[in-house]
Amino acid sequence: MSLYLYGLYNGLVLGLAIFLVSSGLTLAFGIMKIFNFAHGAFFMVGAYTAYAITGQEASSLFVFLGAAFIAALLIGSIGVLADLAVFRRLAGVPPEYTLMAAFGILLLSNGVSKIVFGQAVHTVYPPAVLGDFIDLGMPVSVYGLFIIAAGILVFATLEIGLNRLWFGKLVLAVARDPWMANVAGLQVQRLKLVSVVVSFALAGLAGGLLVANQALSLDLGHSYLLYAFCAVIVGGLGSVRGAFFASILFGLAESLNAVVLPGLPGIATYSLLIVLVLVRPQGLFPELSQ
Amino acid sequence: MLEVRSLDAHYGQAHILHGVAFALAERERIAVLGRNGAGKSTLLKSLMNAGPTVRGEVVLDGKPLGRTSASDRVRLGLSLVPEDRRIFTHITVAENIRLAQQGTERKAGLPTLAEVVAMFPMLKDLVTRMGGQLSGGQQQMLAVARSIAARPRLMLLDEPTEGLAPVIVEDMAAKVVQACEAYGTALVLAEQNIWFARQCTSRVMLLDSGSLVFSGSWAEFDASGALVERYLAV
Ligand SMILES: Nc1ncnc2c1ncn2[C@@H]1O[C@H](COP(=O)(O)OP(=O)(O)OP(=O)(O)O)[C@@H](O)[C@H]1O
Ligand SMILES: [Mg+2]
Repeated sequence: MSLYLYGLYNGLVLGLAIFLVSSGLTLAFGIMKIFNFAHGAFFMVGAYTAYAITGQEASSLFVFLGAAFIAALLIGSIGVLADLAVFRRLAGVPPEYTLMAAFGILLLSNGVSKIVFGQAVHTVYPPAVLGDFIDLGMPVSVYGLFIIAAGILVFATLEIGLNRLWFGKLVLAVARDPWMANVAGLQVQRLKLVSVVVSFALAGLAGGLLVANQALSLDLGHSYLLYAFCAVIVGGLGSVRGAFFASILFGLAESLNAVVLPGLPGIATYSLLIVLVLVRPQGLFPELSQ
Repeated sequence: MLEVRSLDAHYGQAHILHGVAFALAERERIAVLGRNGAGKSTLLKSLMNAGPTVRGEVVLDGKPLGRTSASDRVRLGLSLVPEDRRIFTHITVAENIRLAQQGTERKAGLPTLAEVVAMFPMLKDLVTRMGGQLSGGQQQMLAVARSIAARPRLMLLDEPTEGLAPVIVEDMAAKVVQACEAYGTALVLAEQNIWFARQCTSRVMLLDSGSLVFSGSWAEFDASGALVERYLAV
């Protein structure tokens, strides 16, 4: 029994970790109508940035969080560059071009990372406060609880920001109908820039928050990005709410898969993806078709 | 206030408008008639720089607009009501109006929500309704209302009667005239409904395959009886 409970807990941790990555990805999709392939690379750069600040083990929770925010700021500023130099110039051309451009940015950031960070694999530990385990009938890592809390906090912030604040409603107006937003006089480019920056910053933040207890290498982004792609598709392209629930679904599927069918890793995830796409091709929360 | 000279519009390779030219005085209201596909919507979008590739000149108050973006044209006093309405579905009726007013970046002189609703009583019970939960006719009413709420100097109105019940069409004509006169707004109206167009405007232009084939007063339009036969009958 406790094995399943443990699987559930692990699934939640993984699910919210996936959401930290998929939230920015779905936001970028809403605005640019493309998958930003580079998202995983910037997640990885964010993790390296935090590592560069904290070293192997952050001296306190404050330093750990501070490093994650600095990673978010840095990647957010790269988002400004990416928008001004690339995405903005491609507005109005067929989306394949933007897709190729995002792929180009991915290759570029991978190449630069190789030069800057090197090929070595690093191990990073959470700060001492988060390194503990508490006993809830089973040993539960505080870092895992921290990831769950961080994911929920990011979700709540985005939900309120997009659906309650006037500024968020304007951002959604641009995401849903950029032509009419422009014809209504909104500063479409400025609103798009803000969304791109928030999306990039979320990648950096996720890198900084998830860096601990992982093998930090240039491949860090790959595993998460795959889940995040699945979550964005299943959740409904561009929908933050959809990405949230789909991320948790995939986290649970993956984790319970390991408990129930340890011999067939990943089978639950891909079955879930296939079934959900067949049953609800528009996604759990179809954002763009409304 | 508006002068259009040898305006050509393209969608990609397709050449849609051919050398359109006309002028509009302050507060003047003009109708553009033409068959389906004649280029009416393309003309309005070209004036707004919202879609087609445009060559030729659009001059507002003596200043050529050149490549000025649609959103900057809003701030110069233009407002386009597109034929497909394009109400934002994720925000309320009141917020759709607020958004259009924000687009003008003007603080003073805009009507309050209460004033807008007083002008369009049909929206009275709908202000807190989501845009996506309006009927087609209600959306049409809101599309016109939010444009007027921005108090434009020149409104570009594209087939506002499409899909409206006959009583509502009459009501809409009265509203458009009333609002334009109250705010000193000039109007370019693309229409198929000749009755409605006549109610709203003093002059009329006929567009056929992207070229202007007639321009004059409604009396002149009526005098040249063959026009309707030739350019509007199917
Ligand atoms: N986005 C587009 N891309 C390519 N061609 C277009 C596009 N929009 C319109 N056209 C073409 O331009 C021509 C003029 O279209 P337009 O919409 O201006 O006609 P209209 O007079 O408004 O017709 P209706 O009364 O049906 O609204 C048509 O032949 C149409 O097929
Ligand atoms: Mg039309």
